[in-house]
Amino acid sequence: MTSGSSQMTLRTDGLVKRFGDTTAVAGVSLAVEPGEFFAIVGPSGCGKTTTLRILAGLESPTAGEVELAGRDVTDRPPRDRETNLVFQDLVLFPHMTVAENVGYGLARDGVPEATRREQVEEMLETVGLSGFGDRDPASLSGGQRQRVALARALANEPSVLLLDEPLSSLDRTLRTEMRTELRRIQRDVGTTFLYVTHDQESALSMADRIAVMRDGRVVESGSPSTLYNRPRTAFVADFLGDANLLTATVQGRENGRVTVEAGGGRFDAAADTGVPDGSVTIVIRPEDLRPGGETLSGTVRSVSYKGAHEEYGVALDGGDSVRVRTRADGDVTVGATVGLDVLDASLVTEANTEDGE
Amino acid sequence: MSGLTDRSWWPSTPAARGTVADAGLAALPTALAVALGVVPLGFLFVESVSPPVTLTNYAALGGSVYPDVMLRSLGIGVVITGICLTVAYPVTYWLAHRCPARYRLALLVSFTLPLWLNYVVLNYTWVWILAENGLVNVLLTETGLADRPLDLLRGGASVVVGPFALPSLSLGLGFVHIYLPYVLLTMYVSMERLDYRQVEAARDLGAGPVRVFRDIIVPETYGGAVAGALIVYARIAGAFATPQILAAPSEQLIAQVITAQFYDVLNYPFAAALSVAFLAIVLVGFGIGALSSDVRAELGRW
Amino acid sequence: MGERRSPPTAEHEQPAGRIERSVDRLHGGLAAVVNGGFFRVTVVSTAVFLYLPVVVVAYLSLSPGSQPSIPLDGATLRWYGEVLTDTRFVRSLATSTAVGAVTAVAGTGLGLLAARTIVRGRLPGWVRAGVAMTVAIPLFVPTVVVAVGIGIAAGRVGLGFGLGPVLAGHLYWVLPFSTFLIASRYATLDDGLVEAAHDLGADGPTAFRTVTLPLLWPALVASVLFAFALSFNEFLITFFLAGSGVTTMPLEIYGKVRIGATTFLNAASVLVLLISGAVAAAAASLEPPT
Repeated sequence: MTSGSSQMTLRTDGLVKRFGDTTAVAGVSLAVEPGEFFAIVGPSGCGKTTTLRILAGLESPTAGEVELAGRDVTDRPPRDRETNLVFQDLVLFPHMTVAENVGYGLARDGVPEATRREQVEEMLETVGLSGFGDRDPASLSGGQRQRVALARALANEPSVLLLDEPLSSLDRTLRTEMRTELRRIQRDVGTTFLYVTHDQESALSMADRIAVMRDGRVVESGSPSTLYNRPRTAFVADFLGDANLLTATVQGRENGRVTVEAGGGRFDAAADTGVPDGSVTIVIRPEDLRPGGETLSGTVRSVSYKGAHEEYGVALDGGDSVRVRTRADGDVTVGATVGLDVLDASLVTEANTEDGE
Repeated sequence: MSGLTDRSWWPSTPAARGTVADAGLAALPTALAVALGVVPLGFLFVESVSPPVTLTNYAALGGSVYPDVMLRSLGIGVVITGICLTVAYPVTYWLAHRCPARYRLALLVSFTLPLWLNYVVLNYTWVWILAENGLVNVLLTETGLADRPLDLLRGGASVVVGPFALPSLSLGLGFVHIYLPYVLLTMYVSMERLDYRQVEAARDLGAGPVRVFRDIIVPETYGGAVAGALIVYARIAGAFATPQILAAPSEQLIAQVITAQFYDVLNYPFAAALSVAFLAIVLVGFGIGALSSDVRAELGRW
Repeated sequence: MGERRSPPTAEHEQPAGRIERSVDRLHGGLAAVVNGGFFRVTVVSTAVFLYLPVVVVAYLSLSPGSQPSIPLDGATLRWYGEVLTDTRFVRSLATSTAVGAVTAVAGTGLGLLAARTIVRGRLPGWVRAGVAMTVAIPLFVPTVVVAVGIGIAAGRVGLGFGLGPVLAGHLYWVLPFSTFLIASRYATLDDGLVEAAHDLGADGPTAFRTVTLPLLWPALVASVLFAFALSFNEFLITFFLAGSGVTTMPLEIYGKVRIGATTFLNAASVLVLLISGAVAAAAASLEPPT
């Protein structure tokens, strides 16, 4: 990472955006560190794209502030912001060559022709498109167009690159490949990336930190592993992967852990937040239930083979149903009785936002 | 939420500036359209009820030849529009779905080229086809099919069938010649959008040509047909030069009467009253046509 | 053959079935011929109908005498020379070309402004719809009404008649065509293109110059050509606004047509058709019509 003095922090404070009667963004506060790969993830309609467009200056917020390196840029037009946006549908300029597309921002900054050509070639090399400069964007493949869009947005060295689900149009294989590429390019150029997506897999695999949004608010933010393994809300647990949500009663507590009774068994669960009395919700990932144990027991209702692993639907004796994921060995059949150990569990709240509203 | 500075009451500056700038850009064309469109229509209306305020100009519309002229204009508009549609249906169907692709563009261009040509000149060319010493009469007399030239140019009084006055031969040909290309173009646009697999499916299910036409082609392209009709109808009914060049003396059309009142009689109020009455009738027709949302969508493309 | 082994009923029905089938086949074949022939005849006669009169006039323009007769007793280009040295005709042609050129360029500029307002204007929806409707008036109001209206207004306001009013009338007449020609292209442009330009540092005018304008270019050229053709051929509005001082080509031809058909007029007609045909050919070579 080449975090120099040109690196800045992006901060927003209580962003609100209303379109008529609908509130798209309902108070978003974020802080993105220099050089960070930050992802905003959430279901469609959660306000993530609007937030991104406010950051880019393409929408002005109804309330709240956007700060770049400590300076308020809320009212600055997009051209005066050191942020660049990679659009969801890329919007490459169809009447320009690849090189002209990439050099567009440099030309606007008044970079002389010769320097510009050099920088464009360098940028194309970074994104793996050396020698494509004279091509027509329409003649490129989907993945290549992604790279051009990326190069165009990076060429005039923005301090923050905003990406609006640019991989959503690619097929699965290409998307996986581009994720790795994006991560590599981000490390190479050292620019802060703010990536918006509804695809939790993309966010988990690329980001240093993630903010999960819902209904115009940030529900939780943190590192991918924290959010995945120690979600604090049922929503995040469910959104970031498959989750078994069980109602439990707290039996005992110590040092951030609680002993709970759920599904007819008793086990420990992590509790990072305050623990309410009485009935709580705990989340167990399907891969954290190991067959052959004795904490919980139930009857196998369904078995589905997924290649590398198998998934069972198990009706617990205690009444709940859970999903269990384990390495495929073909031993378990529908109707069999199975005992399960709980490897990991977390206590979650149903609360909607980080503010605990 | 303590950190919020609520700015919803303040018109965000860039947006407001954008609106002002765009209003400025819109001003010039809008001013032209208002000055030469809305204002003259206002003048026309005021003129039609002058001097001071009177309805005598409108009362005069009922007298003399004016009801006949009005009816003839509208009737000829209907007849010519109908002929254009009748020709345009098979031609555009063939062009859009049967024509070998490599000829399609060239044929489409040649069918629509007359749109770019001068209609006074195009009307004039028919004189040499129909005149006493024109192509048709020369062929007829030379081959002995007729012993003397027929009265084809500006000849024959118009035949009235029900409410419709049929135009004389030369007027009809002249009108179809200059307005058919418009109908061909609008019809082609909607014919092209017709999914030919529907026709094939209908054939496969045993439909004959007539059924295919009635059940598939007409419903799928009717928007284009009405749009084409709306585009040419008012122009035919309100044509001036074509009847001046090709109409029989007995078949005056409304535009000729209006022009005569304006130019020769210098009776502006009466010319205005004729115009307003004619406009009202045409607009009522448009209103009926535009009621269908299909047609509105089709016109939206224009 | 198998007839003897076939069941009696089949033996009985077979001849009838065969006839039916061959009648069917005949019917089908006939239908195909009639169908194919019907379309071919319609298309060919439409083409002949549209172009035969023009061909005849072109043929008759070669007549040595001022009153041609069919068939011609010789062929000469002499009358084209007469037309091109006829001061009145040449002057009217020059007037029409000049008016057409100014109208084409200015009309396209105004059309661009109107199209931008209708498609992208940051204005309330009813304002944009209102602009579109106002611009579209001459498409739906019969031309003679527009012409009388402008004529009366010009007279009453004291604007009078002549070149200025003719130019204004032509601009007004081409405005809806250029507006909707450009607007239909404008509407296909992704909003994101201009946003991307802004995001990369372009201000409004720069984004317009570097992104919007090049992408609209084909529509703008088409608009210039079509507006020229419209203005070059416009008759009725000019007829009402020209007054006595200005004569455009269509007015000149109309005046001569009213007097009578001559070889001179045939040659003039062919020249006029060639000019507007050339403009149309330029437009057709630009981009296939969609």
